[in-house]
Amino acid sequence: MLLKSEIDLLRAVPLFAGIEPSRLKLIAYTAETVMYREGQVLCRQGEQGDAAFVLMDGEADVSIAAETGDFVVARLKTGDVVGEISILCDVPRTATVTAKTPVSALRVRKDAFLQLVRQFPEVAAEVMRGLAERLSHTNAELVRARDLAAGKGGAR
Amino acid sequence: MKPADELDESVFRYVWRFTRSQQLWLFGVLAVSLPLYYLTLDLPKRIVNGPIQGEWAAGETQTLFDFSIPLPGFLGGGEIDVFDGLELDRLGVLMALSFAFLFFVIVNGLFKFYISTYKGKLGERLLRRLRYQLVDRVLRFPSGRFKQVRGSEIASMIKDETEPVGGFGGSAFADPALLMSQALTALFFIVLQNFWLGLVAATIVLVQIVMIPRMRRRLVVLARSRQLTARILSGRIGEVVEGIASIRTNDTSNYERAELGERLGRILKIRYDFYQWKFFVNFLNNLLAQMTPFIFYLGGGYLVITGKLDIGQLVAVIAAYKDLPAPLKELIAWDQYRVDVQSKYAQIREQFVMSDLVAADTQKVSFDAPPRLEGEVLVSGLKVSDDAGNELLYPTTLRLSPGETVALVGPPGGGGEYLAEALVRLVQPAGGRVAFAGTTLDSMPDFIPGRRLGYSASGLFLPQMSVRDALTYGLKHVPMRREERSGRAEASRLEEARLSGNLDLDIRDDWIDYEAAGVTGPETLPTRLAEVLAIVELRSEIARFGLRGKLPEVLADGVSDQILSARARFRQRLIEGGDEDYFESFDRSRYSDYASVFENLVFGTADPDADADQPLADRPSVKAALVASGLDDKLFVMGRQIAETLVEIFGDLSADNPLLDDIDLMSPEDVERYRAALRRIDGEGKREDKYKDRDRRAFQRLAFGYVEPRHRLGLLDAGLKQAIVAARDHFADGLGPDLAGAVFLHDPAGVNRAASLQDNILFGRIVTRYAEAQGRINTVLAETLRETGLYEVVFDLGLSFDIGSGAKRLAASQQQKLTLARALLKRPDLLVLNRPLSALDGESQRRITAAVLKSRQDLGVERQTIVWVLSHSEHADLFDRRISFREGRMQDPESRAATPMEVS
Repeated sequence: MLLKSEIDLLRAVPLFAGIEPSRLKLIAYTAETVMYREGQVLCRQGEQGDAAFVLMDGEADVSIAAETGDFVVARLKTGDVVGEISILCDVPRTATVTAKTPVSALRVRKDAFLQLVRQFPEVAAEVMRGLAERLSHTNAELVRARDLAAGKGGAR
Repeated sequence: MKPADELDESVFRYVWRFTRSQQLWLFGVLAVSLPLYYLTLDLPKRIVNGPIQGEWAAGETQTLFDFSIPLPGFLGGGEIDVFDGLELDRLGVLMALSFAFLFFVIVNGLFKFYISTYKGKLGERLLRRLRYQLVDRVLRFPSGRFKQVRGSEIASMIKDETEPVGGFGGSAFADPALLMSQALTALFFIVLQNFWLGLVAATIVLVQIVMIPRMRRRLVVLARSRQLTARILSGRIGEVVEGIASIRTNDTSNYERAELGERLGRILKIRYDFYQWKFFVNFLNNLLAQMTPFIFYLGGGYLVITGKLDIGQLVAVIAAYKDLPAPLKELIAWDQYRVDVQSKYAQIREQFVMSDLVAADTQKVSFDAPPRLEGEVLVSGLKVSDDAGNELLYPTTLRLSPGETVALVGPPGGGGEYLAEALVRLVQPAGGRVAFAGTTLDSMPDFIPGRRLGYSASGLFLPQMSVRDALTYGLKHVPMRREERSGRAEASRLEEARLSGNLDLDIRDDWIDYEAAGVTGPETLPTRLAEVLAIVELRSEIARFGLRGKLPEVLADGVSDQILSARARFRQRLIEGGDEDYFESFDRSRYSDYASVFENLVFGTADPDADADQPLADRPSVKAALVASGLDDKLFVMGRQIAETLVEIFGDLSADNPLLDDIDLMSPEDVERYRAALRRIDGEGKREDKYKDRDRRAFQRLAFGYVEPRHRLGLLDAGLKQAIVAARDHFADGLGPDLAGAVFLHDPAGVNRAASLQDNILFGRIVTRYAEAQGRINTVLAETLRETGLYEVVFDLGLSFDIGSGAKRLAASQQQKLTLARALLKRPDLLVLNRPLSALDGESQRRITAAVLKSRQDLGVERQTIVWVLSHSEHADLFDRRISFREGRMQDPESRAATPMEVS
């Protein structure tokens, strides 16, 4: 995949939507494209993370290991960003990401990602916004789960 | 009778003791040469007074060279004529005498030549002997001594300070004898010619001989301090090198500079003082020497004018005198040399003579297999103290049964480590003893504990050698397999070793004691090495050295073929496993996407440093190929596009922005340069011709480094790729001299010596676009190695890895593993390990500890006793017995010793 098409794709990603084109080029250039076959793992829960991924093509499952077995918490598609929590907070990967179809992803190394966040406030704001959205989503899920646990919730 | 290696107090006695017969031979040769020397003095006078100035009647002849031996009275007197002589006329006599003079000059010269060569050899042998003796003494220093000496000072003493002593050996006796006899001959000759002139000369000589050495005493003092300061300087420099980490981390480099500068200043002052005195003394000496000719010219001239002396005699006296100052001067110089050497020798001797030197017999060469130390080890009342007499280990008594494994635990300095050191005789006990089956350790010569005990500790020093040599070091006691050598070289090697009192064992023989390692010979040793390395978990790391390191200059027979067949097999395996997407083989007829444009152009690789020496784009054969293939412009345009993109992306980042490190194709400093070049090109190319060519090369350089999948600028189309592949032909018939050593071509049917074994087998690039490619390729490679039997070669190459000075090319943990493996390899009866793995994490330590304990079965030493000072006391459960030490005292003495647990 060429830089030009990567940039076009990046522009469609909400995280990078508000970033001016020259910055986008920088991000694309410092990143690398990686391909995964179906069933291969982008990152594994519990391992140290050294990169974030932007899905360029294909689909991937995000799953979390629980006592009852792995359960899928999200299905990623083109344009989704994954893996940024582990490099922002320096914690091990919080979930496992598995390619469901052949996947092509842009791999942004940890140091490059942190540099971007640090140097370009617009990137930082976007990352924050993304995390906040996810948090509110998680909060909603939590409420739903509590309701379920209390037996008040209705069927899905 | 003094021991053979005694260092006598006087350097004269030392030289005499070891070179007596050579010195006597020298005397003999000198005695023969003296009459000849006298003749060269006498002949000029005869020539001047005879044929040149003498009164000759026409046709008068003289008899020359008649020679007869007078008979003593008891044989009836008279003489026996040996040679009747030659009847010659005036011209004939002149010719005969002149040629005789020439003859004697030549013979005299030959004698001198022989004597100086002989002296040189004698001196060199003496030097070898002295250095050997000093090295020998270092090897025999008592252990405590090493805490006080600095290695570099010792090295400076043995290497530099001995040098003049060696030179002196040749001239200690012969020089004064020769010079004295020459001076006396000259003096005697002068006296013969004229008594009074002789007397004058003798008086001045006497004054010189008495006065000059007196004035030189101060020189001796200065020379001594010069030597001491220089020695300390080398010690300090050694410390700076060793302590560079502390210097850098504390910013004390300027403190060191000042300290060393101060030292150098002191040395300069001493040296300057020394030279001042030396030249002053020389000045006086010369002045005195010149007094004599002054008297000769004045007095002798007067005598000639008044007719009391004939001119021939005066010329001869002056000629003889001309020869007098030279030997005299040399004699005085010799005396200076003597004093200097004596003082140097005395100072060296001081450092190497001590009463508690290990006896030479203890370290004597022994070809016998030492007795096994199989019985019980009894430590009774063992006490260890430091230099100041503080107790490090209070009297300790314990027994170690054969085959027992004992863990010594306790805090560092608790005492266990001193017990460990005493068990292998690294410290001299202050009391008590260690006995093996009734024989005390103290009474054993080195070859018993040295071969039957094994030891490893943290921080053992490893000199620079290969991994193989480092491992087998513990097996090299005597040459086990001696190669029969004969011929002159071998005879002279042995003869020289004998003449210098050196050990005559040959370092080139095979010293490895295979039996001790439990193998039959060199063929089976590598397996054993792999085994011990596997026990300490170092084997795969060593193999990696072999895989990633540069190929050696010389490959063993068949290895090249093995590599090539592994290359084919690797390719086949990729296809079989469906992994061919992950890899891109080099192919002459195809563009390799994961290689750079330049690598594709030459179909090879470039030395990473080559571009800095001279830009590759600027090298004649590259230029020629570019022009010939029409790529010159295309690559220029491509480079320009790269530059435009990179300048656009990175151009507005500040110079210290870490993201700039990601540019990869150009360095951050280059961004501005390329921006300027772009501007020049966008303007008019014609104006600034001097930049034109340079800019062109710079843009081409960018294009050379371009790898499409990595940089993703979409600059390579099929046509361009094809053109680049076609241009390969320009380099196919060998490289021009401008690329030799900078570029290495791929050869599908050969091995690239500049590349690692791994690259040679892969012969292509990993398609890094696939995340799993790297891991998968490694697996396939490992399988290929095993299958093709190349793993042995890889391991062998790894064993040849140079560990670097002080093993600095190995991590601390690798060094510790290596010394532990070395101790295991010799399969000792008692293995003493003193926190041998402290650089490793606890989990690895435990794993390796267990493996070492278990390895006794595999190595065939079930009855090996192991004493292990542990860093982690919780690992003691792996052992039969645990003894803890605290503050130098054993905590649970012998309580459980009565019932040692069975070895499971």
